[in-house]
Amino acid sequence: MNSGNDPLDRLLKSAARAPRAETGAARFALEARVLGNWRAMAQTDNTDFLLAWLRRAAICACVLALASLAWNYTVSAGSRTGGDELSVADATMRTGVEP
Amino acid sequence: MSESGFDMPACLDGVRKRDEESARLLFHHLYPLVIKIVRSHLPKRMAEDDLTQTVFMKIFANLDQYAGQAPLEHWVSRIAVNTCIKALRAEKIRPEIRWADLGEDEAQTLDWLASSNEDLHPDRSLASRDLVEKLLDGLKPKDRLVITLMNLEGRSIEEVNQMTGWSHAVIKVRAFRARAKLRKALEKLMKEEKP
Repeated sequence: MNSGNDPLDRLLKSAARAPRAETGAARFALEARVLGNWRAMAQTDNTDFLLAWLRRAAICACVLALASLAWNYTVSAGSRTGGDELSVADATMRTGVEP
Repeated sequence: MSESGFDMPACLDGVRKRDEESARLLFHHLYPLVIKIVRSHLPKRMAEDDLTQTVFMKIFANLDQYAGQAPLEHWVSRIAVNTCIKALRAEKIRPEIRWADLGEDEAQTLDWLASSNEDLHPDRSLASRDLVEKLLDGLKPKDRLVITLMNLEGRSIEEVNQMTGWSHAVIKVRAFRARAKLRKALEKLMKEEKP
């Protein structure tokens, strides 16, 4: 039979007829490698989750620490102001009472 | 559940929940499909098992992205094909084939092609396949892929579209250009002086 003069067509046609290697079942070594990597990947995913959680916790801790510092500063500044007012009042009273 | 008794949705669900038995079942279910693609597009300097393992790792790593709209086999084929193209691209050397690189059977096949207009005898199919493989080594990965899928595996444009994601027009143009390059390489080899 003739499929035209094109040698490429004839070559490809012949090559397409070549029997293919049987796929068969996967070898145990390959299965072990793939599943081993899959387990490692799952573990890495867990570690990633833990790291993400720790990162969020650290950010929250930083925010709390800053809020606490700010509040502490406000309170101490307030108490200083209050202290001055008290001492002025105290001095005025003392001046009025004492001869 | 499929005819073979393989329950795909349950298996995928199991893999997502890190169930090892489900992962094993999925591996064995997909292995014939993956190994067929890997064998057709395996770079020369890469071990079959290494590339197969890479494909499976990509499948498992991206399984959450599989929406279930297309059959899993299509999705897996696309991952396997793209992984093979990437591996072929990494193999930068595209050797130009010469007479001296041919085995005895391949040289006889080439002689027959040059001297006759008849189709090759079925006994020559393996030598033809080897010769085509050597010629394909000189093409770019995507050209090689389209020739392998369409001319050697006899896949339709629609099937190539499902496996690669390329549009029909792109497939036709690429197939045409790849054949032209392959023809040029074959003609050059046929004109070459025998050693």
